[in-house]
Amino acid sequence: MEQVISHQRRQKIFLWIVLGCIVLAVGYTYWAIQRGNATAALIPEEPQGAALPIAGPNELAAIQNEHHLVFINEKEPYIGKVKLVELDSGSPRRAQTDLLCGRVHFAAGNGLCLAYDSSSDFVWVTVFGADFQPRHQFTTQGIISRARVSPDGRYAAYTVFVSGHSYNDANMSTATILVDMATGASLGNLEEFETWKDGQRYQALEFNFWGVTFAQDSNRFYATLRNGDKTYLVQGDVAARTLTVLHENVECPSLSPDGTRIAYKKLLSGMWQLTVLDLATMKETPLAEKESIDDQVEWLDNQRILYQKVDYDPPQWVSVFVLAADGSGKPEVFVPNATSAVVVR
Amino acid sequence: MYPIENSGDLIKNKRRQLLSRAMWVGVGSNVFFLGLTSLLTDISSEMVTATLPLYLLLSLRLAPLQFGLIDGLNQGASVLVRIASGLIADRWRRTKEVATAGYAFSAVCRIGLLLVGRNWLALSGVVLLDRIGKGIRTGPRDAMIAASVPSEKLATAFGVHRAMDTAGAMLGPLLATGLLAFAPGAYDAVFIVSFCFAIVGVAVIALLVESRAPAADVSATDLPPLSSQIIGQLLARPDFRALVLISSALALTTLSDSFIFLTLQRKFSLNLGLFPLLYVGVALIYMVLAIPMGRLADRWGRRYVFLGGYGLLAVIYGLLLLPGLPQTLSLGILLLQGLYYAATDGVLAALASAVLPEQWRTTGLAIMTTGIGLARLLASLGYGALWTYLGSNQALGIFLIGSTITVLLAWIFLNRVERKTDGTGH
Repeated sequence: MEQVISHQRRQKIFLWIVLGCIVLAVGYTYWAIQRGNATAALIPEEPQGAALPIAGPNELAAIQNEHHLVFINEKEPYIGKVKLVELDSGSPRRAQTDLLCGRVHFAAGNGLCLAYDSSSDFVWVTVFGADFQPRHQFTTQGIISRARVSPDGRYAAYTVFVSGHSYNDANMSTATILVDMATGASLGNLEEFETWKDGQRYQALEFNFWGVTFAQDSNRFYATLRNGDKTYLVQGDVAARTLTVLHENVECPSLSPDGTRIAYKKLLSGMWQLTVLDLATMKETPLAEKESIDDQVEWLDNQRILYQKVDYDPPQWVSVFVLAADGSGKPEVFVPNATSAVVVR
Repeated sequence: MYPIENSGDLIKNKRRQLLSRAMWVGVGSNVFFLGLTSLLTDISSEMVTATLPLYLLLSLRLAPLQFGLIDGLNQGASVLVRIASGLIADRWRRTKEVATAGYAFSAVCRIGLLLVGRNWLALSGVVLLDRIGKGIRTGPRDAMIAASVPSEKLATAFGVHRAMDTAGAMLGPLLATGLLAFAPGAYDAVFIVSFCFAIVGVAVIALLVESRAPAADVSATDLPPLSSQIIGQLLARPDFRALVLISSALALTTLSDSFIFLTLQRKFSLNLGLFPLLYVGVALIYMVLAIPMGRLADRWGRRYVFLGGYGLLAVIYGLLLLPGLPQTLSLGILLLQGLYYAATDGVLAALASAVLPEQWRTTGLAIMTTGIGLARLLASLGYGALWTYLGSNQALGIFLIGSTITVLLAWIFLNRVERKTDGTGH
């Protein structure tokens, strides 16, 4: 009799253990998937040895068929030249181009490259195609800051400092220009747009705009507006040429691929704290980056962002870092010796 | 001629027989549950080993000699604990408890994996600890399988167990790969899921497997002394000694899978990406053939099947030595290798279980696997050295000659012992 009871009890205990294990395994896996790719594999290190030769059209096309990253190589012998690397691959393909930029962005086969020419003190603005060959070129003056191409490749926007050279500088002045990528023509400075705040026209002499980020429809965009000592997040409409103030203390916004959040730098006691703003609730989440970051971040996917900062290993070198967009984790080097990372979807 | 039986009983017996044959090929639920434990545990451990890039580290970056050393250490790692666990299990009649402890030990290692993070050296250490858990449990588990079936079904029972064990080893990597596809980089999730499988495995053996051996209600004074004399006494039995000598000698000329695959890869210039598929291929064939070969061994005679298996290994060496083979033949080699495993691994356990006294079966099995483990260590080291200093073909040639001679000698020796001890023929 005891045997029977203990047998039944044993089966019961067994079932409970199985149940517990299933709950743990399924729950943890679900959480790991939700957590997204916060701890995901970074791009494997490039093999040592001779640098790649400049890629031909076929090599470029092969990588462009895959999910890939475009960035500016900061490594000899191609310092300042745009490079491509395949994403989500254990042994990614890489292609080095000959395009020299200080800031680059790329989407849907259309790229914008800002390059400073020290001999003439001009900034070259170059519209290029999937072949990474210049299509349109013009010059402007100032110091290179931000560049963004809309998801469908129709528009681009770039920001240069006209006077001053830092967003810290109270006397600085910026110019943010919209570009028609098909013709290379300017669609105007954001200062020419109509700005609205709290349902009223908002006007001032010293408006400065910078850091445009486009929504999926490419017509809607977000940017930073500074008036006096305050910065604002504005939402813009290319066709209607209007801007609406949404939120305060937002610089260099970057819209998540799903369009629900904006990652930006928030000025807090003299340093820029990387922060994510939920557009539906306007809730701010500070990210796990303790250093002050001056960059317009790029979303790697809906869970992670990329940005550049000084990498102390090797010392004083700039690298692209990856960080979870929910305030968890810690920054990790994504691509060493690189700047201006662009995720091409 | 026959006593008249109650026809009702006859039908009942027949039906029970049919039913049990339909389930688990007539080896009973205990063997099935032991197999289930191994299946779950192997899913657990293979999820981890397939995930850790140890394989790359070991098989692709190291010189053959270093590779041989590490490969051998891996195979020999659990040898030390085997005999100790066997003695303890037999002395206190605690096969089930010792086996359960071994499984639990490995389950705890999964948590260790989570704790050590991405430090490869520490990870290798945890993998080694996991192997020690394997060393603790293998002997008692095989003794429990042997105790769960009548003598004439030993090889079938081991076949069932090995088939389930191998199924787990194949499912593990698949599961890990699938999980990582959904949650890229979530190695912690792999370890947690692996831990869950291990825990369920432990629960199966602890709660569902019945201990068939008489429990330890024998008073302490009746217990035989725990000493190394036992090992001597067991080895003094001519049939068992012959089996230990033969299996060790055969292991001495046995190339590890990794070496066979490396040779195969170089010979046919296979894509390195196919490397894991080779393991899967062999495991698949082993899994499918383990039960049929076990039944064949029970019916025809275990020693024929066992030595036939080793004969196949010699054939594989020969094929690898032949020049100008078509690439499709690499498939044939995989088939032969799977067949070799099916014909030898479980069948040897059955051969040994049949000649060992039940009371000291765990210790006996541990002695035999220790001999094999040490011999394999030497074989891996030797082959690595021969490959490095003489070249791969010469090394293979030496192993071909060695294994052929050993199989022939073993044939003569086994038959003589079999006649002398007047076994039942099996």
